[in-house]
Amino acid sequence: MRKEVPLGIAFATGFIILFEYFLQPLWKDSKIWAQTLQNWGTVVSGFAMGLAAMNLITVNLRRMDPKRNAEWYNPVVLLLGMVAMAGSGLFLPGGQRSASWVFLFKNIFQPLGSAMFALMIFFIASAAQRAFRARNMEALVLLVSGVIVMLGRAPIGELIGMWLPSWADWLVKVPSLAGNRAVMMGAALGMVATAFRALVGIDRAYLGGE
Amino acid sequence: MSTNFGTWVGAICTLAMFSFLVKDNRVFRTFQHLYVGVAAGYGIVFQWNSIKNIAWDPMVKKGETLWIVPIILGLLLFSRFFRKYQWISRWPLAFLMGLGAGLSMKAIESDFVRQVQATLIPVTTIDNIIIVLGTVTALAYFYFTIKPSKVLAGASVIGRYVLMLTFGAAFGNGVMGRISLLIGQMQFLFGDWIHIIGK
Amino acid sequence: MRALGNVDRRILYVVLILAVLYPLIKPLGLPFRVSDWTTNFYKAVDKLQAGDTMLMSIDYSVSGGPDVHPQAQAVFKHALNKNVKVVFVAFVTEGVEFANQMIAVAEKDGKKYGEDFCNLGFAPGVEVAISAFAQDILKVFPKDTRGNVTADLPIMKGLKTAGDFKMITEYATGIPGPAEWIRQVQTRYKVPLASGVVTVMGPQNEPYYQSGQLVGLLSGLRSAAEYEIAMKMPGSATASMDAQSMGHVAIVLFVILGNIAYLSEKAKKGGR
Repeated sequence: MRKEVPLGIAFATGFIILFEYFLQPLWKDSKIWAQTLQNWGTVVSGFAMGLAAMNLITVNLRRMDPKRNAEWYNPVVLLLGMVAMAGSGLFLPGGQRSASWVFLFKNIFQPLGSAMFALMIFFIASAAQRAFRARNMEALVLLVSGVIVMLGRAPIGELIGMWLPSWADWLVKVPSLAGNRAVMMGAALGMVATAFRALVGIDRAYLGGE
Repeated sequence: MSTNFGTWVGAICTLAMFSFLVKDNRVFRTFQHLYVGVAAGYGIVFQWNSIKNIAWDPMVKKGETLWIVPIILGLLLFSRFFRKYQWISRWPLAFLMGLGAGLSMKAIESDFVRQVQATLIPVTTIDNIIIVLGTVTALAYFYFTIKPSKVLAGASVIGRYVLMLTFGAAFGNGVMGRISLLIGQMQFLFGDWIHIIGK
Repeated sequence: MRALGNVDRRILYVVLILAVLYPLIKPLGLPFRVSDWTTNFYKAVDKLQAGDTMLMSIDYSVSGGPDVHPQAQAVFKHALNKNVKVVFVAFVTEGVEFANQMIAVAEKDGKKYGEDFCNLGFAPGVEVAISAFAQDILKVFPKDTRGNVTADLPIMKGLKTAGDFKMITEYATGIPGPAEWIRQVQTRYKVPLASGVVTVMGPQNEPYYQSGQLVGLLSGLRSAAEYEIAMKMPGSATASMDAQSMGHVAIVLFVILGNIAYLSEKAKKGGR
């Protein structure tokens, strides 16, 4: 029963969502139930976000031990940041319009997040110099098309010559379109196959072990 | 230089992150933890407000008692923290899985049927021929289920080159996107903070 | 020659920073043209009449903010200039604050919250939430970010499902993105949908644009700059284009240097 009931839930939910349009002659409330299930899904997803936060708290409370972790202050900083942000949004007057919420988002969350991802260009620069080698014909094709798109899509391309942006546009709108379309179609078939397997209970990985 | 306290805090955060470029260091790791904590706290607020606005308030204030079902399902997710009752969390997971699976099946229309339709274009220009052949050969490259015949193997080779052009374009655009992020940081540090870049 | 292939990475970092910084301080003024992706996006928004309502779904996170936020800002400005009403939603938490930042600027310019625009906030669940929202807006967003009852807002009059909007634009750094919106909204309700994405996602979504599922596509900071040019109001995105160019030149130089070193090493080994 520990696996059969969840499998039944998954099947019933998916079946109603998929076939609500075709079920309407037999079951006129099928559309309302399909909508209701999706509204319920937003609520359950909200709890799932809380699960992640709870996990983060329990893991970092354990890591705060100076005997086990030389950088014990890092989990402290993490939890303080979490409390400060959540506290501003939930308990301060004004909530998400409070000055402290706006301050924390604009001056800590946003700069840290943007800077962290901006670091990637430096790693790309280092990789470009060390690792992007034209070792064979395929790598050469990849590199040349990458260079054409890079230069063609920036204003410098128009300075070099109008042929460069034209070639870059052509690359994106013709061969790249074909490749991306093939990937999209393959992914769609894969997605449908995986969804079907999950719905009929062939794929049970999400249930975990016994 | 800026006299705004918030800008200084933002600048310090940005420089702390960039210190990783010199080498991995304690300051970077501490600010990284700060980012994770603030991000988690940010998410908690929205999670709480969403549940309250969508389910709790309508249930308590308007008498829409059916909302108790997703609230209970959501709470059952937390049974994962108790080893003896972990199996209960399968119910809400199965519910989300069923929802996701049902909704993702719509990809058949948007990502397959419509794309096949869009590929059925008149092969009267070189570009159209390349689009049609490129799509077919790239699809042939992903066909691993049967032993390839000479035709399939040949198509697969052409498909590989089409995909190399695709990934090259993606690489070029990827570099573009990352440079935009760096530009954003430079504008903040040298514009908003140090005032070297004019507005 | 071997040294060319093994330059200290910190030198590369400094060269890259200088390449990007110099044009920001001393602009080069390189001109650029507007692509058809941006032109069609612009035309689709321009076709809207005063009083029409457009949905803007702010689905980008801080990781891609500098790449996508200028697009949303430009489109929002365009809509307000045409007296088109805008409803903001977000299916990524950070989207709410990005929308609030844009709204704050518009309110300073005299526009009214609740009449010219509103921010309905965030709904968890990604594709499930988008699908649920599309079928019943008020069930998923009973209140907006300011605590107002959504149904009571003047701007929300007559808006019950996604099909009631004259146009939908969404801005993404990943998931949810154009694929989810096309699957759950555009396919069912046939509302004109246009997307703004991070640069790397641009080519990936060209199939949707070519098939007509997207009426316009903005890809990264370059498209934001093009949109500003189309509006004849160059702004910060336009000012960034010279830096973009020099950054690309730096990366291409690094690739060329690395390959020169590699090929000469290969030739030397082949000669022995």
